[in-house]
Amino acid sequence: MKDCVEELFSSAIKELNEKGKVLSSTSLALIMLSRIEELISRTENISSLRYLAEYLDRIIKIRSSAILLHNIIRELLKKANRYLEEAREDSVDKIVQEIIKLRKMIIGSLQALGTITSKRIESGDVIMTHAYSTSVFMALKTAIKEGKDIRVYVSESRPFSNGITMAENLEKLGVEVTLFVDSAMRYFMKEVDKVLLGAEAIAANGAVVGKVGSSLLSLVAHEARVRVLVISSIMKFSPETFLGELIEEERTTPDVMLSKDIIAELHKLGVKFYVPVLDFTPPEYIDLIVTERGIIAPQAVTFIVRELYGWPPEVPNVSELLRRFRLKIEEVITK
Amino acid sequence: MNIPKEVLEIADGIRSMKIRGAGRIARSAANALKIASEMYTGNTLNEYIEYIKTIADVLLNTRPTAVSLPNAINFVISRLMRKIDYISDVEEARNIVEGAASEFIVRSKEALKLIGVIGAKRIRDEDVILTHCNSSAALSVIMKAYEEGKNIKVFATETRPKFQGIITVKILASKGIDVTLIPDSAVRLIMKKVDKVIVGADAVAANGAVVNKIGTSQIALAAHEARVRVFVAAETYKFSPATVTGELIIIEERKPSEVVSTAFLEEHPKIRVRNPAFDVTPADYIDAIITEKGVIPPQAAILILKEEYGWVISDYLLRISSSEEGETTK
Repeated sequence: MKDCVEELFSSAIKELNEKGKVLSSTSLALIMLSRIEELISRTENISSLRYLAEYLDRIIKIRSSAILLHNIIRELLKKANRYLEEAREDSVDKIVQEIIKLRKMIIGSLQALGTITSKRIESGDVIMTHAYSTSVFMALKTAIKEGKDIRVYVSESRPFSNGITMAENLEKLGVEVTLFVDSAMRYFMKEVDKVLLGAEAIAANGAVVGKVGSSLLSLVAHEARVRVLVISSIMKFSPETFLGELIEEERTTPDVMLSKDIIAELHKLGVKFYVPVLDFTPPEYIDLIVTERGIIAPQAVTFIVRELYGWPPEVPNVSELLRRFRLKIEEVITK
Repeated sequence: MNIPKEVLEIADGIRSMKIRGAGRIARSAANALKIASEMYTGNTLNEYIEYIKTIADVLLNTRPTAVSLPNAINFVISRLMRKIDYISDVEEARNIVEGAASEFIVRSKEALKLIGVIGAKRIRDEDVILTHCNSSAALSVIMKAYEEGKNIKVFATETRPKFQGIITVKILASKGIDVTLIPDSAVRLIMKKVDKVIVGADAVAANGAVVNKIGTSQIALAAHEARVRVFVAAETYKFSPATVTGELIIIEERKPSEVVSTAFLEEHPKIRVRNPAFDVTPADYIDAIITEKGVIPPQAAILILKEEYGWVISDYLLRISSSEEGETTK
């Protein structure tokens, strides 16, 4: 049984290393919840929680910018620590239930985001998007299912080129989709009615952290007076930024863009590489943020955070929660 | 008199795109005029002028959309026409044509170097420069500044779909310049660290708008937003005379297979891949155009066309009206 969990764990970590930076944060959160559920429900044994703790530690390190992950993990650990403290017999079972609840919450919010955004999409709209956002995909899917006749323009979105994944998934829905290089955003903007973007995180001032290129697309839309809609669950609002924390700049290595031979050749000549994953869009370029609780102006992020976390926001640190979680596990096991 | 074989060969070369690149096309055309003049065997002035005009028309029709070609020809012909009333024999006319053609060839060859010298004056020590694609004129400026001992740092975009940015970083790094390759999507993110943007041009329109590699216009926009100066390095023969009369520059869209593999295209018949090669940057986002004649504001493009290449709107109008007359008399 233990071997089986170990195998499961190592394949989950392998998957994290491969896709941890590439996937949309919502897809990654859903994968995370499935994997940790598998890991702990396999044995129902307290010791399996060690794998859970280790997995959470890894995922935070791989994708430190994804606030959805932080918020989900924070909720999970708050509950888990309480169960362990209470030394309940069924604490593993309770944690599994909590995981299922969180997954339902994410899926529910995605559906709400789709329904609300779709009201803002009209038949005949040409919509431009960048990279792959699960929320944007849900919104487009909902609009198409409601019979709206739309066309979608999507940029390739290097590094990772996840705009191509977006184009592939949209093609399956039968929508007319046009793919182009990131450099052509401004060239095509004249043909566009609305820009839809997803988010990795939303900061206290309403600035949106998104896949690199999102801020460029928003600027280009702003210049052309095309509306920019950011679709984001309130679980992506970053309570830490209210306490002055900065959202870290995320980078990757050039091998996601170029072949090994070319990189080696350029390295030899002394060429350096700078491959950012995220950028920051100021609130001025965003017309509205669609959340599962309704549409808000980017400047109104504060109200939601106040509702969610109180004022001043009370947010236990995730690493601290994780440290306590690990201590508790060992305590329970040694007993 | 018949058109010499050598001239027809050059015309064919331009037409078949064996002769490529704005500079080479322009120099070949000037050279063709020079050869034609040298091979003229008649001795009446009027016949010579008609002959040279015929050659000019043949050359102009090889690639009607090329920007540098009409400039090279007009550089020569306008110098002849300006003095037409004072010329008394063929020899004098020949001297003007052959002299102007040689002058054009020498000048255009020196243009890159001069652009480097002039442009480098605009670069300060410790400047961080962003460039896009692979432009010889932009590189001439950057490399000259470095040779002058300025400690500069360069960011170069990879420039999808054809990765010309890789050629740029190779050239700069092999000179010892500190250069970093970035994805095209990161230009706004990087702009805060940039002091100056230097790009090349495929064509400059009469209103100062610049046609260059796709992506240039959004880089210029991001620079404008961040109050970073944008310089376009361009030889004057890239200034487009056709736009003087309101001709629109048509942007070529290239094969989708440059962006994704043909296998991908076959697998995804419903995904339309569009691949525009160039875009147009409005003059508002350009601080200056660095030419071999000096640094000019983009709005002064029309001056270059007039002074250097002798283009006047009436030339065009005359040509249009005379061709219309020709049609009606038929």
